[in-house]
Parts: sequence; C-alpha cells; structure tokens
Amino acid sequence: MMERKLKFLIFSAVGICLAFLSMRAGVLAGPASPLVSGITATDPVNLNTCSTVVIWCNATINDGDGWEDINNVNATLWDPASTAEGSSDSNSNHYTNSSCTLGANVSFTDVPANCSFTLQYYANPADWTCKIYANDTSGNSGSSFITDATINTLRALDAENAIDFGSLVPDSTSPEDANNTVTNCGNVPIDLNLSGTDLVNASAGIANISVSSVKHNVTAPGQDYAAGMSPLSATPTYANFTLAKRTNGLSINKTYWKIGVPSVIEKLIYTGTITFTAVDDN
Amino acid sequence: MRKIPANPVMMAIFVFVLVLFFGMARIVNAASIGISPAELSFDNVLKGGYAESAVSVSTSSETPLNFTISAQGAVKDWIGFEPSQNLTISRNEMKRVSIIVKPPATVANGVYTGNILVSTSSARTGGTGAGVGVTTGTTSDITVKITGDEIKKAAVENMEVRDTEEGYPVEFLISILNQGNVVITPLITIEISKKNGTDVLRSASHGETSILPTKMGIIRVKMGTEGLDKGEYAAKVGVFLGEEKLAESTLSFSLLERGTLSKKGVLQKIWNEPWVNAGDVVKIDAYFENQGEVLVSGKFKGEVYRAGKLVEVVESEELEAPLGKTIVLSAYFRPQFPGQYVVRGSVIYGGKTTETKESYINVGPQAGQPPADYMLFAVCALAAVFAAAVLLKTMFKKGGIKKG
Repeated sequence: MMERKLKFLIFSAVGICLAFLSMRAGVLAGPASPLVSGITATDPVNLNTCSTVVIWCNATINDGDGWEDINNVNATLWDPASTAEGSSDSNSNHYTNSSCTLGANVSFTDVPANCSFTLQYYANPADWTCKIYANDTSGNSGSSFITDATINTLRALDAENAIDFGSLVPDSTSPEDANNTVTNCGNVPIDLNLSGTDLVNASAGIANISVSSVKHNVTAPGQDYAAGMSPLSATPTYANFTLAKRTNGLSINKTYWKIGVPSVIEKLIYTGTITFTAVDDN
Repeated sequence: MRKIPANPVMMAIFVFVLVLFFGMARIVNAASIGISPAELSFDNVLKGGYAESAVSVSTSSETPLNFTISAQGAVKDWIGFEPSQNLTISRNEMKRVSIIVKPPATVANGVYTGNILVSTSSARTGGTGAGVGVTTGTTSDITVKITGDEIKKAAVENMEVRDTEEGYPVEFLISILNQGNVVITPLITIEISKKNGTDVLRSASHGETSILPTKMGIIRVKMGTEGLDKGEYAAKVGVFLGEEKLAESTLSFSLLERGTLSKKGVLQKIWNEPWVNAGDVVKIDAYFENQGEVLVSGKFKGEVYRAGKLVEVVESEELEAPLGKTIVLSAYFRPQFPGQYVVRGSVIYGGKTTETKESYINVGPQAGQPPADYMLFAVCALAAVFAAAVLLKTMFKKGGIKKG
C-alpha cells in the first residue's frame, strides 16, 4: 500500500515537472521564425502583346528577433491548374523570384517585401497562386500565399506587313502561293477575320483589281485559285485558322494567297489593304 | 477615260515592272496588336442604366502606333469609349480604355452580345508603296445581361482623415464602390468628440454625392473647426445606403497649433540587443528623423510589457533634432526575470506624437547562475530515473522479467 502511494507521488511529480517545462519552453523558445502576412498582388494582370509585363506580389515580413534578422525573401508564382509549386520555371505557368526586395522597415520587427515577376505574353489566363517565403539568419523560415491573382486573357496577333504576288501578266492568276505568316501574340488560341479593299490607283480609267480577285486559304498551301481558295471581301469574313497560344517556340502559321489580274488593265501601280483580325477560336 | 494600251507585249512589261516592285519590297512584320481581357461580361445592367469596365490595348511596336476602337454586334449602339480619339500605343505604353455601357430604357430583358474591335491604322495605302499592305486588328467579346430589377448595393473601400491646424477645416475621404445597377447617393454622418470623450462637439452629414453603377466614388466631407480647442479628436463616421448601414468607423485626428504641420518627425525604429540576461541593463534606442521644416526637440517615451502586463515605463532625455537629421534617443531598462519583453513607444516632439513602434527583448537567466529551468530539468530527470527503478524493482518482485 505504501509502495503504491510512493509510486503515485513520484509519477505525479514527473508529470508536473514536464508540464511546467513545456510552459517555460513557450516563453524561452529559441530565435523567432519569420512570419509572412498581408500578401497583395497585381490583380488583375493584363499582359503585353508579344512582349512582357512586370507584376508585383508583395507582403509584410515579421521577425520577432528584428527585421534585420531576415536574410532572404523569395517567391513563387504559378498556375495551379496546370503545374505544381515545386515544378521548374515555365513562361506559361511557373515563375520564381529568388531574391525579393526588402523595403524600409515599418517597425523593429516588420519590413515590406516586394517580389516582381516579368510575365511573358503567353502566361496562362487563370487564377494564379503567389507564395512568399522568408528565411532568417537562424535558419528559420515562414511562408504564406494567395490563390486569386488573376491573369486576364490576351487576344493578340502579328502578321507580315505585305503580300508579294510575284510577276503576273493580264488575264492570269498567281501560279504560286504568296504567303503571309501570322503570329499568335497572346495567351489564347485565335481564329481570323479577313477583309480587304480593292487594289486601286486614282489614275485608273479602265479597271481596278477587285477585292474578290484576291483569294486565300488559311490552312492548305498550293490550292487551285478557282476551286480551293476563298475570295476576300470588304466585309470581315471568318476563317478557321486555329492558331494555338505559344508554349515553347513561337506560335506561327502561314496563310496562303493568290490574285487574279483582269484581262484588261492599265499600266499603273494598284494598291490595297488586307486586314487580319484576331477573333475567338471557335 | 484612259485608253487600253494597244500593244499587249508592252502591257505585259508594265505589269511585270509593277510586280517586280512588289518583289523587291522588304517583308517585315506589320504592327502587332492585342486586347486584354478578351472577354467582357456585364451582369444585371438595368434598362436605361449604366455600367463601366476597361480594356488594355497593347503592341510590341517600338514606334508609337495609332489605333481605332469601335463596337460591333447587338450592343453596338450602347457602347461608348473613354478616351475615344487620338489613341496611341507603343511597346512600353499600354492604353487603358474605359468601356461604357448605356442600354436604352426600352430594351427587353435578356443577354446581348457583340465585340469590341481595335484596329491599327492603314499605313500602306495611297499608291507610293507596295500594292497590298497588311493591317491588323483584334477583338474582345462582350456580353451584356439586361435586367429590369433594380439592385442597390455598395461597399466602403476606405475611410481616412488628416490632421489639420486651428482655423482650417478637417477633411474626411470616404471611398465607396457601387456594386449595384442604379445610381446611389450614400449618406455620410460624422460626429466629432474629444479623444476618449463622449460629448459630441460637432456633427455633420453629407448626402449630395452620387456614384454611378460599377464605379468607385471618393466622397470628400469638410468640417469647420472654429471653436474647437487644439488637441486630439475622435470622429465617428457612418456610411448609409438607404436604411442599410454600410460601415461605421472611428477615426482620429489632431487639431494643431497654426504652423505645427510644418513640424514633422518620424520614429524610424526602436532597437535594442535582442538577447540579454536577467539583471542586465538594456539600452533602448529610438531613431527619430526630423522631416519637417523647423528644428524640433524630441523625447522617447516607452512602455515595457511582459506577458501582456506593463512592467515599466522608460523615457529618454529630450534632444534637439536638426532639420533632415536622424537622432538616437536612448532609454534604459533592467529586466528582473527571464522571458520575452515588448517595448512599445513613440517620440513626443513639438506638441505632436509619432506613430508607435515596437521592439522585443528576449531575457535569459541571470549570468553566472545555473538556469532555474536546467536545475528543474535535473530534478525531473532524477525523479524519472527513480520512478523507472521502482517500476523495475516491482516487476522483478512479481517475476515479470526472468534473470539469465
């Protein structure tokens, strides 16, 4: 009976000691870990045609040992629908900044961190996640993230500035295609609306070259002028081009053109315009 | 009417010369153009109402490029642009264009679609260059959902007030976003009392500023300060939309002596050794910068807390801070017990007080003494060893563990 009481006393003492030590550990813990809070990002992001745009993901970093204890802040920006946080960088869906800039401290413990990313025009249109990590000189780290940094859709294109139809005589059609290469300069697939004007000269007294004499095929080269190509019109006409957004190399495709010259025409220079307009890829 | 060239051979030569010119023309890229976002959606737009959004138009062209913007489709006649003329972009300068939707009051409920078309200007027509020039354009699809139901909804995004001087009014700025589909005229009420006081000294209300649907409005309310003594005041600001209270907040401002606003000082940081022992004297440095236009004297005053309880008030000497200079105001503190302490303080200068800042002091056991925690740990360890021995002895007695 005496022995059982002794055991009870000893185990109680051990329990109380351990509980007390646990509480003390809370007060006298080692160096504080950095805390990341208040993340804000450029939102929404409108990308720049066939170019880049700089965006920001900022936060406040807190370190209980003083802000000067923070030795590195880095950030990752990624599209969670198509890649993972730990994936390698990709202009379409994953960017990192290994050394964010620290601003002027706002208190002994708090300092703003500014993380910039240079986004390519073909970054995925989606809600991206931005995660900021802070490390201190004691090897402690902290992080936080937001999941709603919206990158908007960008519909954009580029095309060559002229179409060269080669040498022609009256009452003939182009023996070969004249090409014009179109580039997708945005982050969504595109189709085309094509339209044009007559090829004219103000001095022409007999005839001009009508817009419908210019024909195109936006997918297949070497088509017959009469049977395999569509005439251009002054009214924008839809062409199923389906040019995907860039992923690695440039996203480009050729369009193919031919012209028919009337049998009766004067010796003049005839000028006109063709307009390539990017539209939704149906 | 010109005559047809009589000689077909000559005619062929002339046409050949024309297309040879084309052949020699250097093919380069036309002007790229893009629009973002490529889809715009306006939900619950009231018949005869108003809604607004924006697009960015961009190019990779190094040289400035002119473009036009227009609307097409069923919504064509309802859409306006701001700006709508003299639109220029270049590689480093996107253009933001507001898209304004004003459907007629007679339109039926439903969903209407169309698109916004941006086009580069034709640059190669006119007969002096190659014959077939290429221009580019792009589109943003637009959807407008028309409703007959009025929606009154708004959110207060920000409220602020600035310090002022005697004889000058105090100005409040309230930012409100109209999230509904009708024009709103929020009511702002303001009651001013002494800081920590209860008597309302001044009150005002403002209900004259209207905000269009989908737009953010910043309402400025000015109140005279005649008859108020200099000092710190609290302003209870309420924002109402009809019967609904959108927000209420108490803002603080100071009514200062004439010319005081030219006195401006900033407490940059409070610094001390982060790790010390109990009984050590800790030097607490407050870095104070004089950003004003006159010489000021400043004194640091701080409160030291441990586990949320105030343990000591510390104070520095008063020192003069020259214009544009940062001075260090030092105070001293001797922690008696281990633990984490927080110093919260500000600098008082020229009748003003800076923003409060913080620093931390992590205090270990007194130097030269074994830490009480380590001794306690040793006692616990001994107790644990003893407990294990008793357990083993009991088990041996009961034959729970066999020897050999």
